[in-house]
Amino acid sequence: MRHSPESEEPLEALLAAVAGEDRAAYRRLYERTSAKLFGVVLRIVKDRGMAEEVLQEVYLGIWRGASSYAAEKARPMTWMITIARNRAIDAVRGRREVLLDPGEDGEDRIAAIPDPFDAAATFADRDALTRCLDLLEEAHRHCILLAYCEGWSREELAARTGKNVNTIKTWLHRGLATLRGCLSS
Amino acid sequence: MSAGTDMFEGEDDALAGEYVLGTLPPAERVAFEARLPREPALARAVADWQERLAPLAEAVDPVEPPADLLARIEARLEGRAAGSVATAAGAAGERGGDVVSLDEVRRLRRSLAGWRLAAGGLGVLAAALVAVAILAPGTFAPLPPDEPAAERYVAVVDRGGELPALIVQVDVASGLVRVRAPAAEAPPEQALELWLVADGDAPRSLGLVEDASDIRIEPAVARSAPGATLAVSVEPPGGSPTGAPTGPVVYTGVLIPQ
Repeated sequence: MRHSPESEEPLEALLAAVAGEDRAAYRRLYERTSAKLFGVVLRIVKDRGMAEEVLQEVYLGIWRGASSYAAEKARPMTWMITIARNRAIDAVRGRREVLLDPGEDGEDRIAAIPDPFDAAATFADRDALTRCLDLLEEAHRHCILLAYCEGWSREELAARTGKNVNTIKTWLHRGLATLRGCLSS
Repeated sequence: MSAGTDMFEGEDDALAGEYVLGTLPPAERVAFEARLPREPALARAVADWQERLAPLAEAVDPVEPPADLLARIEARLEGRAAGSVATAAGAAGERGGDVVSLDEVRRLRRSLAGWRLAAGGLGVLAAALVAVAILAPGTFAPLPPDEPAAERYVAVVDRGGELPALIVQVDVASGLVRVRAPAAEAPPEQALELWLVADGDAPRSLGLVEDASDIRIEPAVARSAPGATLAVSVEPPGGSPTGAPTGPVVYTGVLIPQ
């Protein structure tokens, strides 16, 4: 994140300007958000060249979709993160088999995933989410984090944990229910 | 938390959560997406999960992309000179005011072909849109080239203006389904398969997507078409081996009465 004067400009206003095909606003939006979104994409798309392709698609999608962004429905970063994750997951699904080396130990792989909360960034909702994630059973938490941050499918989670997909589904549902209950309270 | 979301206890909220996580299998994902346009509370549940989980993405360490990436993106924006025209067409479709003829769509397709080829990959497919229409019983007829297209079909734009990937007309009375694919593109060595997802039913294959095809479906199936969702998934050549979508869903659209 840069600390230029523009960094105080609300992202909502930037997106509104982009919706009006304001190219300068588009560049400022890119400067403000591209490192964060590239980080998100790279977590899912491990190949750097492919991740660069995906990031281009993400920003083309933001350019095309800005006019449909509704500030009352989602925060700007949430909207852009959704585009980034969807594009990244689309890019890896169907070709991830190469990563699913069955001989590898699933537990090691999970342990090797960096904790997303290692990052020093602070966000209003983060503490609540962290606290609530801590309430989850470890296996449920791992599955939710791997799915959200790494883009893993049920099948991939099953292959990695040695469980069947129905168990994974149950874990995800229980984890999500606990998370939601905690965040709502 | 909005009061509306509180109705979504249990299975539906878990589905919304899994939809956001990206863990729903393709067939379930299609069926779920089919419900979203008609169930605002479900769409809200999705938005709520996106907000709840977003801090996870925001906490990811930023990584500076290559210095020239913005220039590459802008070059692609320049490369699609027809982009603003396509946007205007999409907006017209949303307003239901102006008209977009099939010829116009074809022309846009040709002018967009260049950047699409350059873009490649699934990402660009996922960005595209389905435009669909359902004809009233008994009115099925070829589109006269000079006829205002808005009288014949309606563009459904779901992610901001872009060229429709598909135009699908369903004649309920005869069961005739006319598919035109002005901008649908399959990844190399793979096929696109079209699915009809009616309320509560499993996705039903309408066959592989080709540039232009007319197929006939059973009248009972056709009668379930009004309000149904169309989805296009990426499948092996020849189509899904299982009879249900197996690959990622790259286009969706809603069938609406005309």
